[in-house]
Amino acid sequence: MIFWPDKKLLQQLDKMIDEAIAGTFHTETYDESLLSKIESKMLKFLEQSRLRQEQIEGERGHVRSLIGDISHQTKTPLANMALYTQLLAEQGLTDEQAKLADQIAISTDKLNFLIQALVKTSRLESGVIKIEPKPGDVQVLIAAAVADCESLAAAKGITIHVHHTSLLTAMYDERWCTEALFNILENAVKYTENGCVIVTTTEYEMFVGIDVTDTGRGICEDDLPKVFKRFWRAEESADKPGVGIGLFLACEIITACGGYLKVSSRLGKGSTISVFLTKV
Amino acid sequence: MSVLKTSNLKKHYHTGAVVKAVDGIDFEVESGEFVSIVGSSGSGKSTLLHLLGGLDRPTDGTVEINGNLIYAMKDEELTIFRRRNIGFVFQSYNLIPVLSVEENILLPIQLDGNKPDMVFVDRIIETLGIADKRLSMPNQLSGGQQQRVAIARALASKPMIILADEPTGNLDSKSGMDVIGLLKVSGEKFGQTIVLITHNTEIAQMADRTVRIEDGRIVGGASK
Amino acid sequence: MKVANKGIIRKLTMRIIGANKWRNFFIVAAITLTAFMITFMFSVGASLYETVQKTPFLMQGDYSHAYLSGQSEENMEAIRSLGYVRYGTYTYRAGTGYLAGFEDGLEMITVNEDSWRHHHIPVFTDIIGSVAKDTSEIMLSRAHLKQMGIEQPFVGMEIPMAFDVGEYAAGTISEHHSETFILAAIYTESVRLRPGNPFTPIFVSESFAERYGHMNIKNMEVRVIFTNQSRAVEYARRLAQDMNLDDDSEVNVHVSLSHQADTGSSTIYAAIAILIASFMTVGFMLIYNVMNISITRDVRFYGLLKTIGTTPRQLRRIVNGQVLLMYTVGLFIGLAAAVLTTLVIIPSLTLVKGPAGAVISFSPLIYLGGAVFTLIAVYLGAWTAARKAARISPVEAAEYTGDQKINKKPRFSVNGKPALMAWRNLFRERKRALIVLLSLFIGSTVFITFMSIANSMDTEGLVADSFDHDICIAPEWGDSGLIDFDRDFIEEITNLTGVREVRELTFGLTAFMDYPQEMAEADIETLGHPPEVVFITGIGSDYFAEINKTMKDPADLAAFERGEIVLVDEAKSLSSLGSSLYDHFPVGTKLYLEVGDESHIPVNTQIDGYHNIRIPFGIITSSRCLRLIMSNTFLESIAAVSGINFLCVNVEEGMYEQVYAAMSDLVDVDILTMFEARRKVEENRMTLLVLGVSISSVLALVGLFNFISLISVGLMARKREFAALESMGMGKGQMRLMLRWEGMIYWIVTIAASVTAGTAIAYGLFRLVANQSPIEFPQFNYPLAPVAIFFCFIVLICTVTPEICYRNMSKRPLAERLRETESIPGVSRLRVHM
Repeated sequence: MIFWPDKKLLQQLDKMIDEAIAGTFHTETYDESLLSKIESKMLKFLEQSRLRQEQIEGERGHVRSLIGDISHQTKTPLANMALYTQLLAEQGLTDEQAKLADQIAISTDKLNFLIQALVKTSRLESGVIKIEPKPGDVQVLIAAAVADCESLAAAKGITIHVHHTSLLTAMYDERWCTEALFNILENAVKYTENGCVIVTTTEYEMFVGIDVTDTGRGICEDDLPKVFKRFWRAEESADKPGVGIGLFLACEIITACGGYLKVSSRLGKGSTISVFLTKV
Repeated sequence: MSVLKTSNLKKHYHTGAVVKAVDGIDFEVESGEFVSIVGSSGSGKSTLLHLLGGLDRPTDGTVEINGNLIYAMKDEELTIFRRRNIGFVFQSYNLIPVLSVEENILLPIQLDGNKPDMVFVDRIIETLGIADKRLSMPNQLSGGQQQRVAIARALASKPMIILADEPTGNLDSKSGMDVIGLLKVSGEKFGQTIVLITHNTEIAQMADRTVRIEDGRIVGGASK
Repeated sequence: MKVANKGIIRKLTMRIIGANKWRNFFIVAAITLTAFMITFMFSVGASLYETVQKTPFLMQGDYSHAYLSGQSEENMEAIRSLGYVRYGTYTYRAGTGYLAGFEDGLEMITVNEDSWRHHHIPVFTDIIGSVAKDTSEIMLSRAHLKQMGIEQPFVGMEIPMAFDVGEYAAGTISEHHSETFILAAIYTESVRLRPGNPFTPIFVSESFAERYGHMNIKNMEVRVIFTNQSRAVEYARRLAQDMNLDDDSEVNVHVSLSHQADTGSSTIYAAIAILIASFMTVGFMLIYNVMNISITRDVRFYGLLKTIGTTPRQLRRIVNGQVLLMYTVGLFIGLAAAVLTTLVIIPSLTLVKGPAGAVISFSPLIYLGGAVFTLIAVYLGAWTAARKAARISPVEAAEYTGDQKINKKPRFSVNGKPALMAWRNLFRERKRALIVLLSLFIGSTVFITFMSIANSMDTEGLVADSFDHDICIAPEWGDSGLIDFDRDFIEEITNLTGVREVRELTFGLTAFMDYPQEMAEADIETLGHPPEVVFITGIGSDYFAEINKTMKDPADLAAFERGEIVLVDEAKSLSSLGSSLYDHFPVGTKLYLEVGDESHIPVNTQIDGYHNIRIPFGIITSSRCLRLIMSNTFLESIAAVSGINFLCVNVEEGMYEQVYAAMSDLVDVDILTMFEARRKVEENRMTLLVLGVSISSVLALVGLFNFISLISVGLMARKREFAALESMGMGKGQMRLMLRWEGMIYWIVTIAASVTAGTAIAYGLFRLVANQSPIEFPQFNYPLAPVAIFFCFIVLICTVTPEICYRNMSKRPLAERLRETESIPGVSRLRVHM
């Protein structure tokens, strides 16, 4: 038998789906009607989706605890590696041996750094770390990050100029955004041989932009989109220390604060990495 | 499954000489991506965007949105498909001048006869910083604010993909930065797939992935 | 099943309407004018129709199609149940009443609610009071009361009256009574021009008739109204058959219904139809143009809507919704205006007025017709625009800059000459330009037609032609026919200062004749009885002599005076007998007549010629009859007439008023004068003129609206083009010259077309009207002056509009204008192309 589409029935179905989207769906009728059948099926489907979601959550939970375990478990061996390498270095080695020991130390550092960064990233991605942006003075943020970078810059003979501006308030998480900005500053310093790093602030209607400009070698155009990708390093930088994860982490942090990163560069002249935070 | 996929897409004009505005483009976008298409004036990027959005019929090739071949649909069907699945932000004239900001934002939803999820819409309005302009008319807003309303409208109906054609083209650089920044941020926040067309490489770089177009073909960047 | 998005569509419709105020004004104005005119035309037509239908009844004071003698109750039921009978009622003759101030008695007739409602209310006006029910109640007309000398009658007043009853019942003697009656109702009957009984009967109640024994079948008269007036004769015959009536009670059809249909008014109906069509066309054209332009201007709006998901169907609804709303407003105002105008104008419209005044039709069909026909015109215009909006491609809309698109290559080079540039500009918007020209053309042609017809109505010659004399003194009716004037009276009239000559006529004489077999058979078929009557007008020898001068073959006066020859009164005979007049009664026909109602004096005579004797009186009868002109001398000699009862007077130049005044003192009867006739014709002409000018002005106005909107929008669309031209060095003067040329081309083409094709059409229509019309049109008199003024007005508008628009436009600095795209409020920025 063929029935004309029942307007009321379709409206009921529409309502059902709205409820499902909103998460307020519940079955109402239990009889032989088609509607009841559909309701029950819908409920089953939603239940399945929920289960799947829980499964995913569960898996995430596993990953998190795995990370926790890795982090925990690798701490000791790594610490030991560093310790013993240092001890070894102090043993009075030949030049050859000293070089070899040095390599081990460097790699250990890298490994340590890498694992820490990975753990951080992972925690960030799985939501373990909660980033809580609060309104704050941008100058304070800059000052903190710059302070952390002072020694590194001084060691290379590079000055960090900060152009002061009037009070600008933006949403950021003090602890994490400082780290993010630090990563960027560190990166700038790392790739500048001589010259300086300039930090400027620009006010937009909706954002506050913090520009970190270096006078390094610059990044070629094709590589620009890849800058913030995990583990990306320019070919030319293979010789420098670093894993290619600092900027990635910074990107993740800033994005979590409701902001974003932008990069522009002129080959041979330098690059500017801009941090945009939501203005308050 | 990719949100957007084109296959050998072509648009040729026959006015005296043959103009190949789009000449065989294969292009794919995954869900959640923010992709930019860069090209100079006359490179065919606007035509490409029109084809991606079902605004113009191609001479050859297909466009698939979420598995639907949009050019197999009739005009009426395609319009409704667009209404439900594609959001647009143009360079200019984005808003219906006789509707208020809020009415403009809700328009696609209401055209579909649905009740808007005001909680969601409020979030969008907050994110784009136009909460105090809800009841204003478009002619009372600056260019940048108008673009933000356009973005809000595009986001409000939770389309599968948002297509933005040179949204900062008519704006000064500061407003432009705001607009692009917000596009990026809200795309991220609401998990929205965005394809952006521009001639400005700096802006293009703000996307997750860039594709270069010249003379109607993709000449650089990752098309997948 | 559709989703519930009506609300948003309605909102969009209302908002976009609000943003288009000028366009709305034009369209609402056009719709109002169209609705008003169409409805008004329908009103005129319907009123004319009803007037034509009702006039004969108005003149009787009784609306009935057919009469029968008394029937039984059973029969009445049967009659009423017949499909083609709408109403069947009956009345009783209740005697004769003698009112104060009346020389003769008046018939008393009963009424009841039914008969009053169906037969009398339709033809009486200003009725106050109610139907007579009580024995002592009567109903009188204002004419009655005036004759009685009662200045201020009121319902319920006492009317003493003597009356005779019992006359009609067989075997009874007439009794004379005198009683005081109560006036139950007062009414006004229409102006009656028919000589004869000028008063309506006295209406009494049925209980009165019963009391005096008149409520019986012998005194009963049955009146029937059929469902279709035009088939009355056919129905009457069927009625007779269906009721198996024998000859004694045959069915008599009302006088006027056996006549040929009135053909004179068919011209007017045709004119009305043409005007309605014109208005629909011009109205449609304006709406078409303006809406199309509007859609083009708002193409970005519609395109954007389409982009974000408004379907073609929804876009159509938005456009149609706007037009519908404007239609509602315009219709309402237009109909209201039509009602007002109908009330004011139609009563004075002599074209519509019958001899008994104009009947205004308020049939709802008129207003329905007005609404529907206007809707047709409006919807056609809207539909094209809606389709256009629905088809907008979002890409085309996105790239719209407000400039006109130029598709084809120009066919000739312009060499920078403003005139040629103007010519080419016109071709850009071919369709629209054509529509404007057409609407202007229609307006002009209608104007020329009306003016030509009005102008060619030669009132002087007309009136001079229509009657042979300046003043006619009509006869009075008495018991046994018309009363003669006494000699002294005629002497006095003749001796009045200023009177040039007095013609003596005898009027109203009947004779009997055997008509040719063919005619007799035909009449028995159609009317139920053969023709047998001949009407005779007697004229004096001096009149005859004058007539003779105009005849092709002058007749012999002596023979005329001896009664050997007679003339046929051509016009009246023709209208009565039709073309069979010439077939059966050509010149030379011998006639055998029996002259006189009672005397039947035998006369042998012969037709010697035809003449249209133009006097303003005639006898109306249902039978077909020949009318002859005979010699007074002869008639007196055979004692057919006793004296003169009709006088025609010719007056010295300029002595008219004096003579008229003097005569009015002497005589108390109807005096119909050429003066009044002339006034009537002049009235006709003025009415036609005023009507014609107004109607064609409105038409032309709508056409001009079309022009103005087209030009102003067209110029707006070419803003950037002008700015570009200016920047290239085209001076402001040259620009204005070019624009002036554009306007010029419009009026040159319009005027050229109107003068040639328009005049041809006007002439054609004029010929049509002249042939059909009873009034004579001596020649086609082209109304140079009015037409020239009208054209000047068109030239003015065509020249001024582009000027004003240009001036408005060029106020802004050049650089800005170059950059500016078609403005959307708030967004006028540099447009960068792909």
